[in-house]
Amino acid sequence: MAKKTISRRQFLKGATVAAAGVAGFPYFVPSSALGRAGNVAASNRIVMGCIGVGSQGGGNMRGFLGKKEVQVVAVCDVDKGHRDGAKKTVDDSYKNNDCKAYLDFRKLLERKDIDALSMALPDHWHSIIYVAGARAGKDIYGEKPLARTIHGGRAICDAVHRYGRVWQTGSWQRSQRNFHHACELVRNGRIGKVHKVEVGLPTGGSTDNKPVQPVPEGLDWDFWLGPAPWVPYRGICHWNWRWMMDYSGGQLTDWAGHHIDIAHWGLGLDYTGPSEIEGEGVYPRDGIYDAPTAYKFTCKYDNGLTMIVANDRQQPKGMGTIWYGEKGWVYVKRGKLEAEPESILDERIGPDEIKLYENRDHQRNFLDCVKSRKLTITPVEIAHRSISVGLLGEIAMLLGRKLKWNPEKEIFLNDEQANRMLSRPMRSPWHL
Amino acid sequence: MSQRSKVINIALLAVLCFALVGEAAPLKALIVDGQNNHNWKATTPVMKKILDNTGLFEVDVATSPARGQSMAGFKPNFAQYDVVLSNYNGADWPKETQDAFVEYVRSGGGVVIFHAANNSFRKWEEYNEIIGLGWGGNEKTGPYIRWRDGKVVRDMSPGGAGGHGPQHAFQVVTRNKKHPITRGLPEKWMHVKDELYAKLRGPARNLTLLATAYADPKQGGTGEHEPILFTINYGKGRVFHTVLGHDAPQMESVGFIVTLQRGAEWAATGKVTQKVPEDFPSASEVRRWKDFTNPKPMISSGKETEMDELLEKVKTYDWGQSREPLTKVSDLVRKAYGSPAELGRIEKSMLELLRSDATPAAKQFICRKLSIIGTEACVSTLAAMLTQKPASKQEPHPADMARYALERIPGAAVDEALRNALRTTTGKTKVGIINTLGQRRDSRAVRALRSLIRDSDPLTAGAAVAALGNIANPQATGALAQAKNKTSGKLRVLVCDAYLKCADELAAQGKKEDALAIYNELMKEPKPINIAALRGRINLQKKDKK
Repeated sequence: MAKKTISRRQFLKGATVAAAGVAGFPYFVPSSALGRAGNVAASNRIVMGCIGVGSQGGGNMRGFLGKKEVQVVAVCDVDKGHRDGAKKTVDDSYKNNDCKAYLDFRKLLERKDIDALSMALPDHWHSIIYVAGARAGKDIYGEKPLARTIHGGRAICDAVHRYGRVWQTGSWQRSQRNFHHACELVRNGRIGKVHKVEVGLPTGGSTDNKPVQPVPEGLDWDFWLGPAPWVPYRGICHWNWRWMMDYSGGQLTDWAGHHIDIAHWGLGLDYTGPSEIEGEGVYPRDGIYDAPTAYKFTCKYDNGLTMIVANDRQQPKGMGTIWYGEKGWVYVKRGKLEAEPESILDERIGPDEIKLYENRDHQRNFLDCVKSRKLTITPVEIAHRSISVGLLGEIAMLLGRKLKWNPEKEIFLNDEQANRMLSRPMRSPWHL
Repeated sequence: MSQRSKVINIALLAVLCFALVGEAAPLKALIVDGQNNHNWKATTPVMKKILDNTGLFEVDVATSPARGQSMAGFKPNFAQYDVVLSNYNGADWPKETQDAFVEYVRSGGGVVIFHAANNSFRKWEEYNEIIGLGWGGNEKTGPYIRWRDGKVVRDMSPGGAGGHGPQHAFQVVTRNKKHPITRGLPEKWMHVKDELYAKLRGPARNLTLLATAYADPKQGGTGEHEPILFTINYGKGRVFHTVLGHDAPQMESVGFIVTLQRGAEWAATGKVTQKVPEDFPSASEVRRWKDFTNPKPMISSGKETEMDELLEKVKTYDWGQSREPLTKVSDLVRKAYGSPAELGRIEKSMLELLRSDATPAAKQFICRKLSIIGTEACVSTLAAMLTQKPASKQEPHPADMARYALERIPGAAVDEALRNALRTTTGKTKVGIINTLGQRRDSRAVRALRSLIRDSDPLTAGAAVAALGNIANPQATGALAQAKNKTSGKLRVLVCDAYLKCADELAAQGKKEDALAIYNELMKEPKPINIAALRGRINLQKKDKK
């Protein structure tokens, strides 16, 4: 197969990225000016559509509903229950009946009045729907992990860059004080040169072989499957799709966009990836779930750094990210920040030191950037590089051998089978 | 074969015939080591493993006292073995041991001489008769054996014996295709980076030259075709002599492993029952077996059957049932990675399943596997599935299953089959094939795709446009440039999107003028195409500044 020329060099340096995000684009001009009571002038509101409004998407939608500068005008879901529930939530919030509910996201994307999208779907849908959103000229708040495959992620990055869209990934840990502080300490050499980082993610589970059963009323199962291979409905759909490799990669890819993302941030590796990956996964031998339950893989980076990603039971520190440097270590997870020596936790980052992007409200950061056209705290290329580590580990474990990776060209060296796994054939009519 | 085992075999023959059909009593092999200027502690376990993997031998090791210590007690019982393999290059054995060894060979014992074993015992006359050629002699020791003008030449010119240039990978040429050891081997095959022994000389009586290698003067060689594999007949004994295998990594060479396995069996019995593996190295390609393990030592009764038995179970698999047989198939496939021959056999069995009346769930599983391991051998079976219809809506479409495999299988034959299927399919099946051709960036599909832009089915037209944008070569770019002015509405937006991709591709290739022309053209389009075009222009300017 012919290879495409890589067209993204200009995005690979932080400073250039910021410039590229702004240059040449007018300040935000909302597409419409729907009347609505509130503090924000109607003409200055961001009109939003929400695609995928189940558990995570519903939560994100409610968050945006609480922002005065947002007007949610449309929801979309292939499950009527989700769809109707979301419309009711929106209408109740605005005390009207104006929210439109869509089954087909393509109809929603055709609406010219919508400026921005909040999207939360199963991973196997991400590349198609994120690309379509960018191509429709919408700014996007999209859930992690960015994509199910590395080629899918690259296509999303290209489309977002091509159409100059503002992108925020749901990797919200970057907007938390403890994660930010941990990363600034590591970036500024408080533990010296880092030689190793361990990332602990949750352990997965398995279940029985669910029998084939009727599709529940209101769920468009064929649409839900979308590009994935057709299979009959067996009672596993919302939320639990993430334990099946047709749709996701299990706990590994579910959490790669969090703790691996943080590991990269602390190391300044946001725009690259490992050069060598090797590891082992434990897969359920029976039952409908097939994603790895236990996993451990080692990534080597060109700067000599080793990153070990594993489920929490195989990590000395369990969940979270721990960087080991010449002078000590820093460990961070949700609600926790520890270090050795402990005293560095009290140190301030000086004016001449590296300041990482600081933000405390992940959704507001997206809205601010929609207006300013600046880069968000978790732009698309960073999200792609974070999940790429998880996907590379997945491929190395499935093939059961050490893989050499060129993070610049995004190809495996001398491994034709591994390169096949960079993309997935899609069920007709879906394509990128 | 030793006298003892002959007696046993005759005595037990009748019993064996009934009780152990197909399972002969193991041949007894002895590896002798303990002193060597080479890494014998590493190479003996490898030799043992290589022999074990044939399933033919029971292997013992006799390790001599260390260098400098008394050899008096070193008395291996050669007579109870069918073949003795020497990995020994050291101090003289006691006279009694030497005599026992000579008597063992003379009366019909098998011997394998391995690499530096031919450096040993320079003054032991019978040993030098047994090994045929070795190091350290001169014109009085015997001839050099050379292959010149299509025949063996005994070269008596004066000079020392033994040497080699720096290690390098070299080609081995089979000179005797009728000998049991070399029968069925390719005429030329590559050996891994190793020492190429040269200038060996010795009595060379009853020597049969099996294979040579050209000692290239550029690699410090003699410019002669030097003996690499040969046999000696000494009394009733058979000797197989390989000069290959300096250390463990060199013993990963498939050519080394296979010739050692065959040579040892021949030395023990005078026959070779082992098959030449399908992934034996070619004339140009070095091949290694990791862990020195022949991936299919007992292929005819072993793994192939295991896979076929599993596939029989897979055939009736349906969703909701236990997927344990599927998991086991996946395990076997994973084990076979790295062995094209083994994967080829699995592929063949899997294709048979696809042509059978197996369940759709089974066929879908198989297509997922072929997606990773399939080769052009899949083309005809999978291409046939592209035009099949599903029996009901409650099963996967055969064309989707076939494309799941075909899309990721490399090769022009796959592209051709997909292009041909464009002509015989319609609707969603055709759309899928268009998408796959776009994913594969098949430049030869451009002509067909460009005419499909005018298709009355909007899905087909849109897919053709997207595929051209993914291919993004000059022909596809030209097709989209023309299509832009002939389309309107939603399709025009898709054309512009694909055309933008072509411009980005041109920009990435450094063809700025061409890219700029497209961006300028697209500036006139409505939002969001004009925004993307403006952005493309700005990026080009930024590149100029750098």
